[in-house]
Amino acid sequence: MTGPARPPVLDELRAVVRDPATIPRAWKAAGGKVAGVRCLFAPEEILWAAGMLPYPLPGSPEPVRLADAWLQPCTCEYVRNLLDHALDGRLAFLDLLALSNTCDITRRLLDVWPQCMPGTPVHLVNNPQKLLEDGNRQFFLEELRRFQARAEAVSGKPVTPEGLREATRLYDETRALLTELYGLRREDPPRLTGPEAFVAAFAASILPKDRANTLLRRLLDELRSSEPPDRFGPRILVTGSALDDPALLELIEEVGGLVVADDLCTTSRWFAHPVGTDGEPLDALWRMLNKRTLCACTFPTEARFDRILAMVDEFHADAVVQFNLKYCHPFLHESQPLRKRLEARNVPLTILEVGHDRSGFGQLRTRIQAFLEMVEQP
Amino acid sequence: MITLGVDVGSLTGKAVVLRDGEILAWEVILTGPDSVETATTVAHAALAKAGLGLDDMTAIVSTGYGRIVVPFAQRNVSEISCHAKGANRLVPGVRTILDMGGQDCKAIRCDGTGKVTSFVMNDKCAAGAGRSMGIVADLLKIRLEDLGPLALEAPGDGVPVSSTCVVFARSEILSYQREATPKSEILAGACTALASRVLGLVKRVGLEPEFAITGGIAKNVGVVRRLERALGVEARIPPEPQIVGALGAAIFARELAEKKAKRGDRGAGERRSSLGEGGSS
Repeated sequence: MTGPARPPVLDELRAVVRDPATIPRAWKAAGGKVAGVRCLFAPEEILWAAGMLPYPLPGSPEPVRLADAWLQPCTCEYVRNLLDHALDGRLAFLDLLALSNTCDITRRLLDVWPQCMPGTPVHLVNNPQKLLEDGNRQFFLEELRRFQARAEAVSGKPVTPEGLREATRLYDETRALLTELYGLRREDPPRLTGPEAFVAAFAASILPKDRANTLLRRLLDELRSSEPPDRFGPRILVTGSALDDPALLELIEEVGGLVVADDLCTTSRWFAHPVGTDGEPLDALWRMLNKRTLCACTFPTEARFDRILAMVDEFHADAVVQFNLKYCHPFLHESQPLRKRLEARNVPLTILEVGHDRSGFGQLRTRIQAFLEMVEQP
Repeated sequence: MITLGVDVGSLTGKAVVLRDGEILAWEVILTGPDSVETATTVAHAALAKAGLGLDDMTAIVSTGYGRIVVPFAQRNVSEISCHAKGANRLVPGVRTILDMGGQDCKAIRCDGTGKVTSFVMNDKCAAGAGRSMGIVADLLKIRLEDLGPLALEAPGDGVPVSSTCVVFARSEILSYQREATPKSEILAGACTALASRVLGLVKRVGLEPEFAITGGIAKNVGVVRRLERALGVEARIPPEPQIVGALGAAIFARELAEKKAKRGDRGAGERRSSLGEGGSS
């Protein structure tokens, strides 16, 4: 990008996203244990309090090879890519795989994982999918206790209420810093680009949170003392499934859009809700998780649409891009109802189905460019 | 004012020279492996017909798959916007456009003045696009331009041909050939398959007359008639449907130059050109 120099700490964050596995490997080398985490309902705070590094399992933009022997080719390319990583040894550092009760393919990992990686135990948190209901409290708390026991058994370190409260404080600080950072995108022009914001949030999710918080504080300082890039164009909100690669956001900005907000499992959905330190820590975790109606696998759906519309207002978005990973059925099911909600507010929407291996990017460029041209025409 | 529009498509390169809103010259050539060369060749061929050179152009806009590499264009505009703009010139007041090109199809809705209000694009393989017709013509050893009229010789919809995959369709046609199925029946089947594939696209954007078909397949009467029957409306086919995108680009070039003249040096759309202005990380 031309214009004023960008904050130097961004290079450090980019390096994390470019080669994320160096972080868990370094953690292991220092004698620690690593837990892979898929989806938002296996609380990282519990793993951290048990002395483990929660690792959000970023994939890599390459065609699926080995996993097709285990899973159908018409299933999520991201999860199949992760299984490839497991099968060819790239996830050999994992001591535990923690899954949530979200989409089919995530749950089905529970079946194939023990055969693909017999040395690494897998645990599924059976979270309720109907949220915003107090009635699920006892059941959900029991599930969290079981998850805590599993984490303790794998790590060998008991989780104390103080330890869990400390972990919550640390994670809440990451959430607060990222919320502050994302707030800078309300400005016009936004003080950081869409890909930059993504890289900051995604790197923070990969790093140990004490380290992440240091880098995020530096980024905020550097951004406040830097000139905002001189850019103009339609302001875009990107919503959709798990994005683990900034390439799509780069493409949107390359053809002239400004990605001013993102609502993704790997970014703002992950840091949206603070846990707080009121009361018993496990109960505080439940209260937060019960608010996380952010994934297309949870209900009520309208709560998520309300959030998307609130983000459109907050970030002054001109249009919405719904990003769907190839074969990500939960989010694809939502496309048309979402279109109706946005149409009622005169917010243009385009629905994209994107290959995890970046296939079809030529046609994608045409779609996005034509959409931006349509939005921009007076 | 003289402007140039260049459309580098997957199968053909098109160029239109426009003087004060009137088409001065145009050219269509096959796309070579090198998009820059294709753009340069087709532009010079069209300009030669008009007795002009690149230096005589006030503004140049590129479109099509190769749009971002055209070295002499000041701006690139997506083929979707260009087809809407160009079709509106040739079919004034058009509201629904089906553009059937070499490797993809787009259904475009516009507001009656050439502005896009929504669009959908085929998102899988080239089944339902021009390439599939080329493959069928090759298999049956007929000329592409004879395919449509021959397909109309069959009384009905022809034999069933796969509409989701060109490779499947190819093997189906091979077995029909072994069974000595008449050519017209096979061709009718291929046209029906293509028409049903793009029918869904049109229904998704919603059909509102005037309805126009652009792109190379608009020349295929076998597909056009079947689509008209399925949609229950008559399709307007512009003369030279292949150059609609390049025409739209030339009109955009003219508007760009006019805006620039009005505002001084700060062209509103320039930032959208991807040339030399990459993403950030």
